Amino acid sequence: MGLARLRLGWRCFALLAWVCGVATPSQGEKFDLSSSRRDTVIGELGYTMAWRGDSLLDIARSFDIGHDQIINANPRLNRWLPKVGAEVVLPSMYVLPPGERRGIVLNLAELRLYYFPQGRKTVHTFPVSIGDYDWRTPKGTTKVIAKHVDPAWYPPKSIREEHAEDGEDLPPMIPGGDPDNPLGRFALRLGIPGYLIHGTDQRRSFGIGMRVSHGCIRLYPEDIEKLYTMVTIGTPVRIIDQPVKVGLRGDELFVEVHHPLVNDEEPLFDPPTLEDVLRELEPFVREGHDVDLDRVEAAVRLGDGVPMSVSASRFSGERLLTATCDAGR
Amino acid sequence: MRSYSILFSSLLLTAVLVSGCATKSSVAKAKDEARDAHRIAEQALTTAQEANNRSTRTEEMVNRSFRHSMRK
Repeated sequence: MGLARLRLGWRCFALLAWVCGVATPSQGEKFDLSSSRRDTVIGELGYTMAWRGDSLLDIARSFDIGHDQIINANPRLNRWLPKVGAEVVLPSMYVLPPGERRGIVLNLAELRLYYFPQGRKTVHTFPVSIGDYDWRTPKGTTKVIAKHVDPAWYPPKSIREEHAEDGEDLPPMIPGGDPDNPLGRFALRLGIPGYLIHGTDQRRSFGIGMRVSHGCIRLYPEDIEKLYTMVTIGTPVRIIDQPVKVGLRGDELFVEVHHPLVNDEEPLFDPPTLEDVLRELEPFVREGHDVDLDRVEAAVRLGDGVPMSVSASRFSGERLLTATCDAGR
Repeated sequence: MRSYSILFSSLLLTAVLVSGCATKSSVAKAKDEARDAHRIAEQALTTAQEANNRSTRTEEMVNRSFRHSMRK
């Protein structure tokens, strides 16, 4: 009886979440950073239910989650036809990227962009698509040098040749505002020549959160519109590639490990190893945080990009990593 | 009295022999049926595995096509 009530409650909650979420795509996620400078874990895991006709990609878009992100968090669900009524994990919990909280920070490994507005203790975060295997998005520091509404797209010769190989005749220019313009309605030009942060057309909007672009950074149409209104020319942009992030919420230590999505194509990078994660944990261990090694190994094994608590105090793990050990070995 | 006893023993012997043969043939029949069922189950398993492989291959193909279509 109790279990039946619990299930009914869960289904009602999921229905409410679906009505609030699926019905209207959300515009990024905003988090308050005023509580503590040391806290670097934002958001919470959420859950919803798959309804008839929903693919995981529909659900991802409704909750502002990327393609690879939702698939990695729900490895047992079919991305195209999840079972009706299946519980879907919404991995809306993130460890903030390391380094200065200023302007735009793009983490290639997690296919996610963070925007820290100047003078405000908040962060906005959006899923992004980046360059694929032959068109890698470059790492480094740059800034926004121009903003465009309804940008026209002049596909480079290499891209036109690529389309010609597939039997498609790509015109030399697709005008701004054209529904097939892959740049969408808004674009931020970066200081790196030829690179933009831009939206997308409706057809490609379900491919956000993948490595599919020609190096540009692509957002959901509703997300680029929001980012465009917030960002000013001169905003600094830092592009990093950090598949392992470690963060704190209060005294609780979290590890976020990203594996490249498997089964589709050749992975872009090797999955992080236990040694990689221990190296990131080392400064925290030296500060006195006790770490449950079993949990760390589980995080490395899963590599689903969902922050996992590894603090020893919360679990009864026998294998502890403490300040007396050398975390680097 | 003795003739009754002989008759009874004969009947008993006949009954035992008949039921013994019947049991043997039933067991053989059941074994055959079990073998058939096992063979059919193996065929079904092979078919299911083939269907599963095809489904996996199709899904991978759909995923690749989707990825390709998401490029500019």
